[in-house]
Amino acid sequence: MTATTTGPTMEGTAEAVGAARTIADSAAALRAGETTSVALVREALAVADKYDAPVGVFIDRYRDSALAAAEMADAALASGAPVGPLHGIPLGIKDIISTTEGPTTCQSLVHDPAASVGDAVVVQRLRAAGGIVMGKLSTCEFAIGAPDASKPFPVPKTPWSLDHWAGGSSSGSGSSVALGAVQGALGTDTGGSIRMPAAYCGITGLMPTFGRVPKSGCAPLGYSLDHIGPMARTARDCAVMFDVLAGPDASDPTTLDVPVPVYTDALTGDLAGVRIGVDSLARIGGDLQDPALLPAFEAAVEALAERGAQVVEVELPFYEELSFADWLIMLSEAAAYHLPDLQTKWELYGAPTRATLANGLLYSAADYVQAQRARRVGQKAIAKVYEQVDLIATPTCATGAPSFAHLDEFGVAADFFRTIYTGYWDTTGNPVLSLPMGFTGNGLPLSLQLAGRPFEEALLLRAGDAYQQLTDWHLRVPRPALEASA
Amino acid sequence: MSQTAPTDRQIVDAPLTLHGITPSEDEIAKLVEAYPTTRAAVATLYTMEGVRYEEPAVTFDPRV
Repeated sequence: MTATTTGPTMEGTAEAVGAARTIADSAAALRAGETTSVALVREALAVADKYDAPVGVFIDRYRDSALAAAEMADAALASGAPVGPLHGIPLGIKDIISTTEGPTTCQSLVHDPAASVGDAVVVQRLRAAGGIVMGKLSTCEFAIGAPDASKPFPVPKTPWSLDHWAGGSSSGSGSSVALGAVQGALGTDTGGSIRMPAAYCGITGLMPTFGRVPKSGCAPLGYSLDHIGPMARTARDCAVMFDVLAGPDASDPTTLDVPVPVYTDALTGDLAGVRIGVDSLARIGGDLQDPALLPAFEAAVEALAERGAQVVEVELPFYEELSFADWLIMLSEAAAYHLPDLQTKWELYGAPTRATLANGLLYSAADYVQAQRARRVGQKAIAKVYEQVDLIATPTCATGAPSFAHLDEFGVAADFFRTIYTGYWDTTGNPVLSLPMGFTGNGLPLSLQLAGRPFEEALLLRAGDAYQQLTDWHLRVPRPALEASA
Repeated sequence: MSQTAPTDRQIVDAPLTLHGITPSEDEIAKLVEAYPTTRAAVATLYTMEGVRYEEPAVTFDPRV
């Protein structure tokens, strides 16, 4: 089977394949003198000028500093000086990660001075590789709230339909890449916050192994669960970013000193001998699953097999328990972090955020420890599965992006979380890559999730790149019909 | 001596009060409504196969 370029898309909202810019292509064009960093930045700014407000992409944009950095990048290229892999590339940063250009709001009226500390380690690494910071991207309040129109912050929409949520919490990271307002972005993931918006916005996102990327300079949500990772149009672009993001730093004691390979060297396009376990998770999503999901998932698995992978059925052990453990641990750790501000600034938090954080106070200390014990059981159980397979494939979510009306009905109801297949892997700490794999009948992106053994991101990225050599779902560029939406 | 079991409302109120949190009545009502489902989910973590004598996934390094 070869995946086709056809498929349902929202009429009049997608540009033809080929309109998409990737980091890899831009880097090559810069080095060949076919474009300039100033041109790439101006192009990204133009997209942002048009779509930022209606889609809810940025918290703050750094037009002047980005253009100044682009001019310097072009001068460096012209001089023949050696340049980094992200040289001159427009990038965006989720607004819970600190940068020097401006304050980190965490999309909240609760001013947290600890969130603005200059460049976070990951931002330092992107800049050292030549990346240009275009601005700070929308999120959910402190990476845990829900879309909240009552607060003076963007309500993030997926650019595929402005009636639908971008997903969270790395909302603007997903929508900015999908639109082309940046070519790569940083997201964070504690229960699915890289992979859910990557899925809903139709892009690629990598949640690294826990401890692979330093979190210093990022506002914490769940100390033992938080990950920072790249979000970009392709697995190859994620690999380019990950080549400079991965590796320990003394400022984050949870990082681990495990050798870092060159991830882009792993992208052979070949999956011969790779064993992939497949779990559709239909038993979890049940009747909530979109009708287009399973056919799209089966086609994605066929594409992986076409690249040489051996496919076997597996069942994720303790799915319900480990997904809930993620929630319990996240809320407990978040409640501890936020308690002083919850006591004194309750009204400044958005209603969805404070309700969720208050929920974290209802678990006992014993419950928290028990969740961490369940986590260890889960780690051992999934390690047993990985004795039989090298990667595990599931859908990322059971549906396309939910409509805002649907979200209001759900609130924080359990049904919504039954459609998000991500938290399990935050509990186990394995690396996971989400990739576009098709569209729903009404033109919303669907997503494949590949999970690997700890610190085997190279194999994940290799599989993702091999899959994307056969498909072009990741190259679709949404162009929302602004007039109709307005 | 017979004791009356605490209501879900009393159970929810206790940690909120303990931590000095003052949600509105509506907010408390939603927490109370969700509480039985939440506790049922917590209970499953105590009965997982193999969990009884497992170490928690937390570590402490005495070096600073």
